[in-house]
Amino acid sequence: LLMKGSRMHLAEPAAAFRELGVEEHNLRFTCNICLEEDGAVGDLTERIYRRLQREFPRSSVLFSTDNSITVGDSVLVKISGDEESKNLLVSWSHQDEDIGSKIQSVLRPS
Amino acid sequence: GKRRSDGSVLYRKPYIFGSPGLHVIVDTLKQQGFSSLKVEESEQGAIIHLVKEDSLIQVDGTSTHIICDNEDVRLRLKEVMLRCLKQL
Repeated sequence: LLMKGSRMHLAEPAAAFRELGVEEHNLRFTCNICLEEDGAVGDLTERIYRRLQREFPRSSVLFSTDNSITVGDSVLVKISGDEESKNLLVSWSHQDEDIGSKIQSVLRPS
Repeated sequence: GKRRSDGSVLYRKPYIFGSPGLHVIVDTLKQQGFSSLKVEESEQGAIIHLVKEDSLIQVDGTSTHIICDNEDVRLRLKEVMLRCLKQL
């Protein structure tokens, strides 16, 4: 909500910041998780995709053909590796901290 | 957070703003116990290497990227950045 003199109007937070002359800060996190898991990278990507769909029924979970998955507005999970070991890159912006931090705890081997 | 009509919690997305200087971030890191820092400055910004914690912070004024595999360290680095920024 912004006030100009006696007039008020509603604005998206990012637009409101611009009007006030302050810039939103983009804070991003990336972590890598190593998995000793046999099998094809594509198969693991599909299992993780289904798992994330179950864990986050309220968020958009999108599968890409390059073995990456996006969740919500800013979360990226990218799976790479070979038959024996895999690397999961999980990256998210601070605005999706609740989703991002949960994903990396779900995917981390216990 | 607030609750939706169906009882689920609606989280307000945290908005942060500001563009802290490199020295502010480095000083806050030191205050919070991160001592083994190597700073590499370039035209685009700077990279802070946390040698002991094996983590990186890329800063360029309006954006910060924390690259860290250890969740405890990541949460501490997040707190450092939130101290340097303003929140709504």
